[in-house]
Amino acid sequence: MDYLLHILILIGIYLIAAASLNFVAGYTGLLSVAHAAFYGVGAYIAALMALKLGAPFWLSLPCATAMAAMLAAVVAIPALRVHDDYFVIATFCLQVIATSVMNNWIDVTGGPLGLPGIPHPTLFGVSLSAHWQMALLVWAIAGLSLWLLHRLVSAPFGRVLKAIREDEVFTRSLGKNVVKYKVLAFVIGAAFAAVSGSLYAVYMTYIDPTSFTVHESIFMLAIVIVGGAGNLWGSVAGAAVLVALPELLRFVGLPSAIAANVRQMLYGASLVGMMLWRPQGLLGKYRLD
Amino acid sequence: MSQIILECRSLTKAFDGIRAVDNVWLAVERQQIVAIIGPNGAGKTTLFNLCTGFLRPDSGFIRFKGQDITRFAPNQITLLGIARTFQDLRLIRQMTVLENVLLAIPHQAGEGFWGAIAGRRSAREERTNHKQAMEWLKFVGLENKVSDLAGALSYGQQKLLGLACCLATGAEVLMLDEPVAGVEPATNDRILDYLRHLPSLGKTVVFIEHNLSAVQTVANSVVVMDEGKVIAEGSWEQVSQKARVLEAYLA
Repeated sequence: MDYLLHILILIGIYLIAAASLNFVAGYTGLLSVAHAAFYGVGAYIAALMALKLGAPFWLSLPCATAMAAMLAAVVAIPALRVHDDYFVIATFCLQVIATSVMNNWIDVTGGPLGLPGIPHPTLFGVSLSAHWQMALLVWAIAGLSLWLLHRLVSAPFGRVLKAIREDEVFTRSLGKNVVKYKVLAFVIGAAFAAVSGSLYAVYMTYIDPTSFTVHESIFMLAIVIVGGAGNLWGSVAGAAVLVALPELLRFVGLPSAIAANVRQMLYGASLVGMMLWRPQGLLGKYRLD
Repeated sequence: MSQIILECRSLTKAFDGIRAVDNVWLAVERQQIVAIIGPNGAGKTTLFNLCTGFLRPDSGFIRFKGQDITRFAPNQITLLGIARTFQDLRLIRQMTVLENVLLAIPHQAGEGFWGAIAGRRSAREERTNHKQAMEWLKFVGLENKVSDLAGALSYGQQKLLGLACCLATGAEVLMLDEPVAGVEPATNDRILDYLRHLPSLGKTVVFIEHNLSAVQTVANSVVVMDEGKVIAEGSWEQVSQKARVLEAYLA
């Protein structure tokens, strides 16, 4: 039972990360591979505030979100001066810098050893340490995040984002401040990534830099693409499939000596197959290119 | 109130030493229809890009209603009152016809972060905008196509949609880059009809066109450019007499 709840919690955490990346990449067309960096910033700030200041989760969550948003605003200014492929490279550099800071700023981040013993969040004096309690917390926050993102994309705000994705020059010619919208989308995406990261930290109670590398960013991008870029519900489906699929492959009954490798191969093959047969993703109409 | 709405003063823009726009002086009067003609590479589109902020001039000034807009961003210029279309026909092809026009409507509360989150005011506003967008679509005769994807329209219909978007920005000056180029004859006549109508709606039109019969039928005045310079200006009758104009076209 706890195993199922564990998977459900991970799906919840990843869907916040993926839906917010979808907001940035799928709706606005900013193909960022630095999402795990903001996810990591959220996780580290929430962890450090709990460990060093004894701050409750209800305080560390908004602080982590705000810090990630501010960091995103600062890096957006140079990163958004470049376009398309160059933007991908700029975000890749940002991701690499973030990971090396986590690895090398040992006094603060604990370096490769990470930060152990992060307390579970408490609600009315009760520590939310049981799986079902964490599942409720994660899914409540995931629901709220999805609702907010849905609000944004279904409003005229979202129409401008989609227009920027399709044709920036035309959108500017209609009087829209394209730069402002891109910065805003990037900042909002980073803020939700930090929400997701904070939840990850307090759920796992231990974090280290390996959870916030470029691989993690690519994994989030895979959720967005498999689920369907430009469709928030697609990211929910994508998170469910990509988090649950490797778990389901545990039950295929492979000989234990080769199980781990074969599982990776099956996982990779199913992603390639998905891209061949349904390049727009499970629920998407739009192909990210 | 001055009759001059848009003014260029000694405008120059060079690319790799070649002066695409070379010391251009131009004054456009309110509610006029001005055609800009000239051979390919004469600097017509560059002049448009300068006036709408998509390019910065090397020297010279652009004034709109007496205000210096030379260093303004394209989106600021559109909101101030100069909107444009593009030669290579830009639209959001993955959106519906109606959404394209809605996108063009300026100053929407629902386009702001808080406006979108709060929602209530923006929903009311969206209904009003809906009506306004429908009026522009009726004006260009696309009211039956509202829920089609813009990319699914015929070329002529896409040109009409581009015009509707330009109008929906609320700008007073419309700068249209080849509004009838490549359009079938029936749509061609329709577009020219709409253009003729625009001054009565308070609009001023500046358009680039190679189709000289279109220029002849709708333009109040004609500006002829060649090699970045204005080589003639005046009514069609006046400019078509000038030897240099004939030379520029025949050469």
